[in-house]
Amino acid sequence: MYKYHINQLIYVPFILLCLLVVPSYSFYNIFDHSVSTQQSFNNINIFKLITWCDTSELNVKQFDLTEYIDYVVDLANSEELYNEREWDVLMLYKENAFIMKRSLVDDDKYFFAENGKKNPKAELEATIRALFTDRKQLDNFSENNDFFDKIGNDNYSQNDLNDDNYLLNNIENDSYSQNNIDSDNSYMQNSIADDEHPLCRFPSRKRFIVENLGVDESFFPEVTCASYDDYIEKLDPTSITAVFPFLYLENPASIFGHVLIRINGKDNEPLLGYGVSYTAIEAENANIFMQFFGGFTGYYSGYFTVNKFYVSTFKYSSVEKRDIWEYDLNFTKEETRKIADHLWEMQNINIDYFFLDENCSYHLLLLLESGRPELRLANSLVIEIPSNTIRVIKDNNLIEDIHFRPSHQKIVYAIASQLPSKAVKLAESVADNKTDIQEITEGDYTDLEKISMLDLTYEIYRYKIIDSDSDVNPYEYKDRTLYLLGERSKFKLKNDYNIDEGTRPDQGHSLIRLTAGTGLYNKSVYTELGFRLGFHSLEDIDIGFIPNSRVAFFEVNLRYNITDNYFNVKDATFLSFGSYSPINSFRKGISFKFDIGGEQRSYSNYSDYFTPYVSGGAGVTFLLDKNIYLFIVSDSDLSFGSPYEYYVGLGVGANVGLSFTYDFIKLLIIGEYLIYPFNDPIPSNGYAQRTSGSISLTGAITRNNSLMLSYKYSYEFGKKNSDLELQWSFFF
Amino acid sequence: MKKLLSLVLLTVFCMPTLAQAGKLRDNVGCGLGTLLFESVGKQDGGWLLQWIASSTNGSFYSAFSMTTGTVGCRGSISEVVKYEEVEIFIAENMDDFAKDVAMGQGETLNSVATLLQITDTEKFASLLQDNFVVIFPNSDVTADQVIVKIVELNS
Repeated sequence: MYKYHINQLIYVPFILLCLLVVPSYSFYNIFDHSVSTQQSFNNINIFKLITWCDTSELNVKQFDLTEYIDYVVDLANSEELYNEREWDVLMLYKENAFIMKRSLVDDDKYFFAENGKKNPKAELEATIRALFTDRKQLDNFSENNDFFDKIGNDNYSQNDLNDDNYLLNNIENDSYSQNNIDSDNSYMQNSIADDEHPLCRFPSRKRFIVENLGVDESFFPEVTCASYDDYIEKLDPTSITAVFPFLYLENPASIFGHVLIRINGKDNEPLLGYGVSYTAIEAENANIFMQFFGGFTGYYSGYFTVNKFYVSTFKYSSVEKRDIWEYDLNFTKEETRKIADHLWEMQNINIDYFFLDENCSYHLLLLLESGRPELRLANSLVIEIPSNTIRVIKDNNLIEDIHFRPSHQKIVYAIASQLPSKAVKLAESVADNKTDIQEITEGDYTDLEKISMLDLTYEIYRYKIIDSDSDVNPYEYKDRTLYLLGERSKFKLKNDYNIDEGTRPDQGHSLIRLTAGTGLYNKSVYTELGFRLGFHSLEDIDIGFIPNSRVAFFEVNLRYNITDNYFNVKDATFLSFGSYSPINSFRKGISFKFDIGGEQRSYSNYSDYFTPYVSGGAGVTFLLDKNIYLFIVSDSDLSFGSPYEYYVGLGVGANVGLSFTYDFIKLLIIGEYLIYPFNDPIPSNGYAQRTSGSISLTGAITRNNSLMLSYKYSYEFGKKNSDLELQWSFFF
Repeated sequence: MKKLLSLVLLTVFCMPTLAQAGKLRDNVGCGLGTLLFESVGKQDGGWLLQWIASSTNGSFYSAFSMTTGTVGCRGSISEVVKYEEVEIFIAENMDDFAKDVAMGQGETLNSVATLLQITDTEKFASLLQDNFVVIFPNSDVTADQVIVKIVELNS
């Protein structure tokens, strides 16, 4: 209860005294002041009045602005406001392994105190003092004071906002609303100066301090936050949607999917909302190795960006052909406003981007916490990824509704699947401009079929324009588009295509996998324990993931051979990557795999030798029937170790696989053949080659528990091995 | 609704900068194919982020609103802003909008209806579908021409 209106409480004795002594003079004014929230009358009068009351009746020291600030600071300290959860959330303070609080923010502009990154208390005090700073003082200060240098300096002038400020790229520029321009020039200048004021820059901190300490806002300097007001007007923050564009294996930065949030306006039209992302801008243009190593070491700076949502939908569903799931969250309008305010505070603030943990997902979770500080969403141990983010949101009961936005590819398939193949061929031919459109419009089809065919024609045409690498003349594209659509507009029927959503990412298994198994290796009994940091493998159930994809990293399996009483590392994976997307008439993409790791192999001179390797290959995948995939990929293997002459061996060969999924059961059969053409290592019998066949059957028990039975037979450099195993997997 | 639409129409015609605005927009691409060609990188190799940078570099929008603020449309400022919003939206979603108009339904149609404060989206959609050829007479059509046609059809 102490939080309520401290300012009013401290005036109570004064009011009472003044009521007794000078009722006619003071009553009205003081009462008015105590209920007013903003500049209802001049601050100077209050001071005089209180001084007058004080000196005559109480003989207490003069109570001026400086003292009021000291009073607020003391109050904050005595109530230990700096320990409040919301302060941690606003400042991004996190406890490290030594239970020391440190802010994740790596940008001096975010802190008023010199040691604000490490000291929540000092930062709170400095913030309070900054909020009360007069605008004129701000100008004076900025010339010789460090702390205002941070504010007044590089990033806050209006011009720089337009150039550097990623957050407002889209909002700021087109939003110099009429009202501002209508006013005179001095107003514009004032508003720019005001926009730099801490009150305008940090609305969330202001609210936090005012609400918790009952600060009398009339002590704040009068400022007009034109940019901030514009921003709020433009966003009209009303509700929040978490948006999850599905995994995308063709761009290494997106193999785990992506997550952004959409701030919806009052009309709740998805396309008119604003998408908020956290990205490392420079990293997007870097090569894969820089992305990878820079991402691990925090080399890149991350920033929040805000774009109109349709820009995102175009990019994800049309260009990258990713399905998008939209999860409406149950944040109230007030909570949404808090999130928008915190986002405003984070504009142009740099946080080092870490690929594994401090990434796009993690920071959006932090942003959501600012709407409801009691939520603890960003608790990841070592790693945070988008699909996990969705599950965190789900586990915290934040989801209100789910919408599916199919990729352009899915739309094309859905329409095509409703038509006879002859009609699909005709539509393709028209899209390629090989057949006249009258073949459709005047053909022997029902109106509904004609509509489907015309829609398909247009979608295929557009799909090819986006997809193909050939140079398309924009004018030809425009003319043909209008021609096709003109024909389509003559048919008034609507056709709602039934687009299969498939499985949703929130239904998938969690990130980290623990396995325990037991089995027979040749004739010895063994037990096995395994750990995998992430993410998904071929033998895992595909619900919520791209079917037949593998993105695995930091996996190790330890095996204890009970019969022969020895212990070894069966295999270890640093990185394993496989993309087996089926080809069809619209999509001609290749399948590929790439692995770095080590495993036990048999050689003529060694029964088990842990062999590090790098391997990779490319090929093609076919969808034989619903949920039956066949893939054939080449394989080349570079192995290291003493079995090989010069410690390096090279093998070439191929992999063939067949997978079949039925609900919660997956059957996987894989055959491998590799020949070592330099006859290295030299076999005592047989050939320098490795052949293996494996079959596994996996069944999901719950979302995060599954059982697998597998059998593998291998013939390596003349040695035969068999391995039968029953394994339990647990994800968390 | 009619009153609002005619106000929008009025503001359209009391904007002497319209021609100039269209020209400025051409620099960053305008109308059909804009998003497609700018972002897929067919023309200038730019991906989406660059596209955002180039199309919102401020020159158009600030010039646009500043001039309209001084040409005597003060009586209908909110409609001016609304019109500007619709125009930007259509310009940047021209391809999808054309598709949705032709097919008589879709998300961009709903958005435009919302921006124009039209409640009967069904009727709006079928009216536009009937007049597809009028709204999109040729491939050089620009967003401001499209919006003028739409407003005419609805008034």
